[in-house]
Amino acid sequence: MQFAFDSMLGLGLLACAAGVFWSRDLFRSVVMFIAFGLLLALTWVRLEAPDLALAEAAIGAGLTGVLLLDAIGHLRQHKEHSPRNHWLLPLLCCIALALLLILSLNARPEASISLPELVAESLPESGVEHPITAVLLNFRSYDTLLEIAVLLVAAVVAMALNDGLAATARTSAEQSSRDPVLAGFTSRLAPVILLIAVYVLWAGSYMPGGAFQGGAILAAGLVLLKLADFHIERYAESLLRLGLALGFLVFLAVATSVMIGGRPFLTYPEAFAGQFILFIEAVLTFSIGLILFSLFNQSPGQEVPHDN
Amino acid sequence: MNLIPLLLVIPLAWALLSLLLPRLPLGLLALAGIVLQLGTAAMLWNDVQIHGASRYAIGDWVAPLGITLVADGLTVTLLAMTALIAVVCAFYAIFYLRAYEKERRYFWPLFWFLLAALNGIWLAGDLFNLYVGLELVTLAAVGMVTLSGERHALAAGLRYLYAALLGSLAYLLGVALLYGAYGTLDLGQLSSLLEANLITQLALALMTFGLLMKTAVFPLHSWLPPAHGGALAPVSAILSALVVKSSFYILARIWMDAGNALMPVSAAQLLGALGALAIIWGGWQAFRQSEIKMLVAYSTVAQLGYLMLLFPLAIGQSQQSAILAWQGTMLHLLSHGFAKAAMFLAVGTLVLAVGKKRVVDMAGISAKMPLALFAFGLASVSLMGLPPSGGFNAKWLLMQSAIQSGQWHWVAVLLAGSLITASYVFRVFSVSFQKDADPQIRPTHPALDLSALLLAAIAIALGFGAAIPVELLTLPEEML
Repeated sequence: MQFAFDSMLGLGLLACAAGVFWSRDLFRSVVMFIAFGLLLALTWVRLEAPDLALAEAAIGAGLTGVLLLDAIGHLRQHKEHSPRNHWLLPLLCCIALALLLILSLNARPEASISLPELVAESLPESGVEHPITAVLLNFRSYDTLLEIAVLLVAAVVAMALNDGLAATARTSAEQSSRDPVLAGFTSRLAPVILLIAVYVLWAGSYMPGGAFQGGAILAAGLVLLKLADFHIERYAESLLRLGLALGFLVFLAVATSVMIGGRPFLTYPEAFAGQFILFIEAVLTFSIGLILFSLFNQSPGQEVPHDN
Repeated sequence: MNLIPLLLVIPLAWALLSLLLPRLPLGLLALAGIVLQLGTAAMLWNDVQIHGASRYAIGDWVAPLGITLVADGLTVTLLAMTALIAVVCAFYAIFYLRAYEKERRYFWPLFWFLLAALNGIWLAGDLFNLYVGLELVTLAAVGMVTLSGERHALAAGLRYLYAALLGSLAYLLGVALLYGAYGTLDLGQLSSLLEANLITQLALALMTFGLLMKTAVFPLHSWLPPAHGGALAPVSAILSALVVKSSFYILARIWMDAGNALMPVSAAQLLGALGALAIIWGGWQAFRQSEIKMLVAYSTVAQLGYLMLLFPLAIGQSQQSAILAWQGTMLHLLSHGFAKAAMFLAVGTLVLAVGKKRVVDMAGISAKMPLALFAFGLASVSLMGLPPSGGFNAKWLLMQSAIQSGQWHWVAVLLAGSLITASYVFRVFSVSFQKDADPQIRPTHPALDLSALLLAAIAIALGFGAAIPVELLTLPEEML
């Protein structure tokens, strides 16, 4: 039974991937891509990686899908999509790589170091009970710090590009009128989404969840609000910037301030590690949500500049 | 207090400052920050010279559970180079960006994130951490390329992003395979664990492909010229001098630290052959370009080829030849960094003054802008490998290594490379020294010339003081 389910999942993934590549219509490609993301999330569940499944569903399928749909909206106005002709070489490369991967994974040597065991041993000192949160926010928190920087840079680049385009085009959001059904629905849904985001964040310390997943859910709520024409982005730009950078700012400040007590960079005081992590995660959730939303929000409106 | 984390904290803090307080005089602020970073890098250099390499466990978690940073001779040399080039580029940018009101707001945050990521890569001792560093470098670099918002810049930036992402994914897949097989991401631990089997070789091949893509090694170079040639002058300088070196550094670290015994000699020779083709193809393309910045950008493609000679000269050869190759390659990396940054800054000043981009537009410029052209000339001396310059010493070391290992074909490549470099550099000189032309120029700030001259002078000075960095650059396995 499980084998049948897994093979269906695998075949479904392949079919969706093929659909993304070969459909003539870009819209259909994007829908296939979103379906691919959802199936991939299911695959992660089957592989017993619920954290990845949450992230994949929220970011891979959800937000990326919204961004891609938005991008199509802009492309439509300009030129017809021409289906790609050079797919043979990439396809052959992919097949060859897949075969090599299968062969090499079959002959995989037994790892001499077992990191999961080390993580389990050190878990009591980490301040949290969920091993993945412990790795992300404590054992390898330096990676996470830099990942947040990557997200922040993405938002900064989007802002810079948006400023560049602002001179030639402006969103046509002014003209659209609010859809009463969507607006009513969204205004009731928004608090629930916020609640779920906070719950996922809180749950992260003892079960799958955490800042990234919570942030992605928060961003989804903001996107929905924006689509329903609630203009939450119309706050002072400097305030928005502070919101985007707040997570990174707090993380860096905590990471650095512990050095004053003579501890190495990013070492939480052991007795308070749990509180420190929860605090950092809370601001990170807020900033990640804003950053992901701003990537959507920064994309130009319905009119793109005509470059001559 | 340990200096290593400061080299990450300073640029990250300054990135936040420039992002959150755009009203401050960001240029002056940047200059202060970068001088601080230069001082820290110099102190760390001194530390390593006296006490030897050191490790730093972030969060007090030791590898493989945590992430360990490594500061050895090569690391501190690159940290110092980064800070030096950055301080001059920042100085240049203050004056250059006066004409770019809009770009200036985002230049400084991206500049600082880029510096933080570069420092992070030089210090990293962990394969996944290197991946995160590469992502940060790439995204900040792409953002800087697209700063102007012009169509050609956006196209170049997008192309750069796609190429870099493909490279990142290939690298990440390799990292995942190695982690699956050995259970650790720490480069130092992996070096004693790696065995010759299919999964290891596939992983190393994937990582090599990804890093070659990011380093723009022939034939994966086509994204580089439009990105480096189309960006603002200080951005081009930083990209060509530092950013492409970061992925090469990882490649060299992986092969020399961990995979030395695993890489087949034929693969090493193949990488060398790619380098040789890059030298010839890049040089030829540089010669053919009509725009002067594109000429310099293709010159980067060619110069990156020399770095690839490390592999055939060091792998499967005698210890002595390997050491010479390692020192020569890293000295080339340094001197090309300074020379190319100087060249991009000088050319940026010329283009700013003339207001046109083509090589032929520079006719007669020598009489009007002697200092910028002089800086260009000094940088060319190092790129061509003429004595006295860092470029000459680097090629001399590489040549000695080739002779010692009896690989005369690489000697021929080195000599041919210098000739090709001379041909495209002299094309610029022959145009700019035309007597009958009288170009109309806008006056530029003398600080622009000064910055280019300073960097070019360092490239030349490496011809006299090469012993100082070279002493630190012994083979990595001897130090750890």
